[in-house]
Amino acid sequence: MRNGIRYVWVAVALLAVAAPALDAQDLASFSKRLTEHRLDNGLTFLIYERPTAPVVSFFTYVNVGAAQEVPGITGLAHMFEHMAFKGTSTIGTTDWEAERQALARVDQAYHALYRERTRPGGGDPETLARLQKEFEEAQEAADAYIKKNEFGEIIEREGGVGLNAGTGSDQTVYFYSLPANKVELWAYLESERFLDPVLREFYKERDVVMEERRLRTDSQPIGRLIEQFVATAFVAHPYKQPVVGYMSDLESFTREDAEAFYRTHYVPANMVIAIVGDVRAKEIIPILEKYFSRLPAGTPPPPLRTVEPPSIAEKVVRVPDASQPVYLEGYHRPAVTHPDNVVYDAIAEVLSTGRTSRLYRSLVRDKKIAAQVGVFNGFPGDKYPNLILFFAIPSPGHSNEEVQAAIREEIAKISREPITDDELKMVKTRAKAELIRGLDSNPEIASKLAEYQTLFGDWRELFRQVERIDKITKEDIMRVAQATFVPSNRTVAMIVPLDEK
Amino acid sequence: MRTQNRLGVLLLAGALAAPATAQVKHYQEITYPPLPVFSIPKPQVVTLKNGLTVFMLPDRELPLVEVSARIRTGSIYEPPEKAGLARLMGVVQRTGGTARSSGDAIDDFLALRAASIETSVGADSGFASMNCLKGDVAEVLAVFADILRTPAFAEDKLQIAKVQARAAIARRNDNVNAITMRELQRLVYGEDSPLARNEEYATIAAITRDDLVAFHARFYHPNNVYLGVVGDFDPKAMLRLLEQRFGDWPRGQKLDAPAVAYRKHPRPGVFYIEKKDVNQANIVMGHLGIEMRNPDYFAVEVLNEVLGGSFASRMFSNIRSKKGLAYSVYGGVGAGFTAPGVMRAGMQTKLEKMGEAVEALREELAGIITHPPTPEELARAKESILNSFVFNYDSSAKILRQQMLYAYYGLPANFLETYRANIEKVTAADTARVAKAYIKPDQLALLVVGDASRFDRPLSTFGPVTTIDITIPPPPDTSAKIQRSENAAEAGRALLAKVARTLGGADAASVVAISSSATTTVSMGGQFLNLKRSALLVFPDRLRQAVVTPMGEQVMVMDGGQGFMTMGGQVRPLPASMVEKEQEDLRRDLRVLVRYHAEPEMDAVAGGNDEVAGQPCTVLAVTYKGVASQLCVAADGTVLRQTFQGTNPLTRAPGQVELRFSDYRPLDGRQVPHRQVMLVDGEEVMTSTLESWQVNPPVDEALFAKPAA
Repeated sequence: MRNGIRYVWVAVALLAVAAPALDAQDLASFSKRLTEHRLDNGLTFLIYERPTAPVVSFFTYVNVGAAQEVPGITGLAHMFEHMAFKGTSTIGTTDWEAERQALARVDQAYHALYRERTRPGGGDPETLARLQKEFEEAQEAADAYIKKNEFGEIIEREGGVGLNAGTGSDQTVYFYSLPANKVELWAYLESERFLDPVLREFYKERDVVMEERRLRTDSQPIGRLIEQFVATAFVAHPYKQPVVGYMSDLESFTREDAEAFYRTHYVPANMVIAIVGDVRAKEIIPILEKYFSRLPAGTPPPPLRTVEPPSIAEKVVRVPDASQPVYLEGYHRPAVTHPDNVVYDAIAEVLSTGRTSRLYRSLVRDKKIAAQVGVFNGFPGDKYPNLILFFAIPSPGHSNEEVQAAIREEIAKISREPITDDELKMVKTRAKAELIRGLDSNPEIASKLAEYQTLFGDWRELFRQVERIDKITKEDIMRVAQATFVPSNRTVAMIVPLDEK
Repeated sequence: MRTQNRLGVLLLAGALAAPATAQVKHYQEITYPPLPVFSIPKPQVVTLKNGLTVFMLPDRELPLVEVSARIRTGSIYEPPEKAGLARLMGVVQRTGGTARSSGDAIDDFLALRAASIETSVGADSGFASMNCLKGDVAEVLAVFADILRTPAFAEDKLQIAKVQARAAIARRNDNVNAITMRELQRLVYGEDSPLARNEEYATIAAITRDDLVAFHARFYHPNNVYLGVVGDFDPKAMLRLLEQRFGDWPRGQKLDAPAVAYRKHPRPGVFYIEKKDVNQANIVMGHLGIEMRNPDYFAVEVLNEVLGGSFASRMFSNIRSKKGLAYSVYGGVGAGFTAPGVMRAGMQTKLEKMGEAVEALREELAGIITHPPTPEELARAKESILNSFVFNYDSSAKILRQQMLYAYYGLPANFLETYRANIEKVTAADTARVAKAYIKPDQLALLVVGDASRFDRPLSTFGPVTTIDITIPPPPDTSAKIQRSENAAEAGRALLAKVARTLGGADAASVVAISSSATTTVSMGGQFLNLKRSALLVFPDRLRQAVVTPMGEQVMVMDGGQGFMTMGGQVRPLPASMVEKEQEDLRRDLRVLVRYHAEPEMDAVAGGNDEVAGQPCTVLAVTYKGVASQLCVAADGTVLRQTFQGTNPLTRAPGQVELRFSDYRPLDGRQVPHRQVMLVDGEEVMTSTLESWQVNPPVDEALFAKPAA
C-alpha cells in the first residue's frame, strides 16, 4: 500500500501565489480531508470527507473509451457500460449453473445465425428463418433464469439515487449516491460487478443500443452532422469513431467480444474510484480492502499507438438536411496534459463564455446572425490530441456562410491583437470561482477527483490548473491562436437546409 | 495526517491476513449502522414592512452567496395574442439593463467578478437569482435589486430576444422529441390553454416594449415576492443590506392566481404527426393528471414508482428489458400546482415496431388497474422512496428552495416531514384505488410522431386517426392592403392585360416555354458569392433550375406534382412540402402571371400610386390560384417591383420578399428586365443579371428525366 506524495510544500507555495483578496477554497484545506489509498492490485481510491448531509457519492472512472475500439467492435465500450448493470453470478439470476449453460447455447445459436447471414448472397432464407427461430428460443430459455434489473433494484430499494453511467471517447464512468450508512453495500456491488460480470441479455441489450443510436444520432440532424464531422476531422486517430458505434458493428459484435474487451481494459490499475460525503476514511478503508482486493491485478493494457498526424488539409463537410442550418468548425489542438491546455481554455472563455464573450457580442448581439454560438475544448475527448470546436446556429434569414465569416473575423482578432486587461482578469477570476462552485456537490467533487487523477496522474491538478491559469499572459493567447487557427488545421461541417438554392 | 493514515492502514492490513473472500458478505447479509441523526436546518423567515418575505439559511462551507427570488407572475397572465410576452419580459429584464446601468455594462461588471444574475418567467412563477463570491455581495446585490425593481427593457435587447424567439419558432419542428412533448401538452390541455399555447411569429411581432414595462409594473412588487439567501453570510448584516436595497420598494396590489384555462373534459382519440426523416416512432398517450394538493398525491407517488419510476418498475422491466422495444420508456400520473399535471406514458421505438409498442403501453396502463401493485411491489416502491428520502435535503440550497416553494404554493412548511409519514401510510388498497381513479385508458389521447409508411400496422387499427398539421403559421403580412371595389377590379384586369402585352408580347397567352440564364450574386455577411443559374420553364408547371456553385452543379426539377434534386452525384426526391412551395412560387412568378393573365383563376385589383427608386407606378394586387402578390406597374406597362410573403432562399425562414426589376430591354417584341434585386425583410439578399433569354426554345425531355441514383 503506497502512500501519497508529500505535498505540504505545494500548499504553502499556492498560498503565497494566490491573490490575497480571494478567500479561495484552497488545496491545503481540501487536502486535510482527502485520503489517497492504493490497493496492491493497482486500484486507486480517493476518499474525501464532507459531512454536510448523511449521504455519500461514488464515482468509478475506468480509463477505457471509444478510442480503445477498432473497426468491427465500435460501440463496444458503451455496450459494456450497459452490460455492467446486468448483474453477476449471484445477482440477477435464479440459477446460475443452469443459466450459464443456457447462455452458452445462446452464443452457439447466434454464431450459427451469423455465419449463415454473412454467407455470400446473404444466406438461404429458409435456413435463416430456422436459425433465427432457434436463436430466439435459446434467448428465451436463458431469460427464464433472469431476475430482471436486480442490480439497479437493490440500489434503488436501499435509497440510491442518481444511478447512471456514461461512456465517452476517453473513459467509462459509473456512479451513484447512497445514504451514508450504506458504504458496504456499494463496496459489495461495485466490486462484484467488475469481478464477476455476467453479460446476460446481451443481444436484447444490443437492440436497445441500436435504438439509442437511432434516437440520438440517426434521427437528429445535429447527431448526423457531428458523426460526419468527427470522422472527417480525424484521419487516423480512433477519436473519429462514434461512441455509440456504427450500425453494422452493432449488428455484428458478440458477447465474447464484450468479454474480451472487459478482460483487457477493466483491470484495477486502469480504474480510479472517488468516494465523497459523510464518511471517515479510517472506517471505510477496511471495507474497501475487503471487497476490492479480490479483483486480480491482471495486466494493464498497452497504451494506444496511433497518433493523429499533423493536419495538412482543410476539410469541408456538407450534410443536406430538412432542418435549419447548423455550423461547426474545428481545429486540432494538443491533449489536456499539454502545458498550453489552460491557454486553450482561456481562448474559449474569452470567445464564448457568457454574454460578454466576443462571439456572443458579435454574432448574437451586433450582427444578429446567430441564435447561438459557442466554443468547446476537448472534442470528442481530451486525453489525446483533440479539437477546439466552434459551433453556431444561424438565426432565421441568415446562413452558415455568414456565421463562418463572423467567426473567422473573431479568430483573426484574437490571433493578432492582445486581449484586454479586463478580459484577462475575468478569465482568472472565473477559473477560481468555478473551482469553488464545483466543490458544492458530492457527485461533482467525486467526478472531478477521479477524472483529474486519471488524466494527470494527480487529483491535485484540479487546483493546480487554476494556478496555471493565473500565470497566463496575453502573449500566450496570441501565440497559441496563431499556431492553431490556420486553414490546414481546420475541419468545417454544416447542415445545408434542403431547399437551399 | 498522511503518516497516521499509512500506519493505520498497515495495522489493518495485518488484521486482514486471512483471505478476503471469506469475509465478503452477500448483500442480503450486510447489516447497516443507523443513519446519522440529521435535523433539517430551518431557514429564518422575516417579512419586511412592505410585504417582502425573506428566507435566510447561512452555510459557511464555501465563500459563495446565492440570492434567489420567486415572483407571483407567469405566462398564465398574458393575453393569448401576445403569447411569449411573459417569457420575453423575463429575458429582457436581464439583458435590457436598468435605470442605472446598461445591460452590457452589467454583463461586464458581473463577468469581471465571475458572478451571475439571471431572470426568467415560467408558466406560473417568475424567477430572479444572483450568485457571487462572498466578498462581492453588497455590490452585486445592488445590481440585482435594480434588475428586480427598475429594469429598463432596452429596445435593442427586446429586438435581439425577438430574433431568438423567431429562431426557436423556426426550429420547433426539427426535433421529434420536442414535437411529441409539445403536442401532447396541447392535446391534453387544449391548444388555447396558457399551459400549452405556442409562441408564433404573429404573437411575437405584437409584443412591444410598453407591454414589457406594463407586465413588470403589474407584478413586481415586494408583497408578491419571496426572496431567499443561502451561503456564507451573516443574517443580521444581510438583513440590513436587504432593508437598504428593498426597504423602500413600494407595495403593490396583492394578486391572486387567475383561473387557468385548460380543457376540463378529455379529448380521447388517435393522433398522427408525420415526420419523415427519422428512424423512430415517438409514441405518447395521456390525459389530465392530478393537483399537488390532492390528498391522494402520496398514493399516486407510490403508484408512479411501481408503474414507471425505476428499474423495478413495470414499464422498464416489461417494455425495455423484456421486450427490448425501447431505450427510453416512461409513464406516470403527473401532479401540478396551478393546474392538474399530465398523466402520460410513452416511448421511442423503431418505426416497424410502432403497433407492438402501442399495444405494450396500453397493456401496462390497463394492467396496473386490473393487477394493482402487489404487496411486494408496494414494499419495494415505498422502501425506495423512503430510503432515498435523505436526498431531499442534502444541501442548504435545496432546503431553501423547497421552503420557498411551499410558501409560494401555500403548502405547509413541514410538507417534507409529513411527506415521509404520508408515504409510509400508503396501502396496497390505496394504490389500487388511485390507479382506477386517475388512469383512464378510454380517455387517453394517443399521439404518434413518425413515418407512417414504415409502421408495422396502420395507426387506424387503433381508432380513427386525426392528422395534426404542425406547419408553423407564417409571419403576419405587413404589406399594405388594397381596397376592393368594382372599379378597382376592372382597372386591375386592364392593368394586368397591359403588363402582359408589354412583358409578354402579342402572343403572351400562348407561349409554350421560356428558357433563361443569369448570373446571380448572393450577399452574405459582407461576402459575395457568384452563381451561374439557368432555368427552363415549360408552362404550366414544369420547371428545371440549375445552379453552378463553387461546390458543383445543383439541379432541381419539378414536373407537375413530383420533383427531384441532384447535388454532387446524389439524387434525392423533392419532399412534398418543397414541391408545394415551388408550385406556390410559380403561381406568382412574373412569367406565369403574364402567361395566364386572362384566365378565370387570375384575380387582379388595382390600387393607389406608389414609386420605386423615384419612378412612379401603380399598385396591382394579383392573386393566381390562391397565391397573392403585389406588383407596382410603371406607366409603360413594365413591372418595377413585386412584393409578397415568401421565404428567404438562403435559409428557410419566412419573410417579406421584395423583387425589383430594372434594366428593361426589348427582346423579340417583349420588354425583358435584365436586372433583378431580391430583398427579404428590407435586406438585399440577391442580385441577378440576365445573360440569355429565349421564348419557345426546343425542349429536350432528357432535361426532365430523373438520372439513375
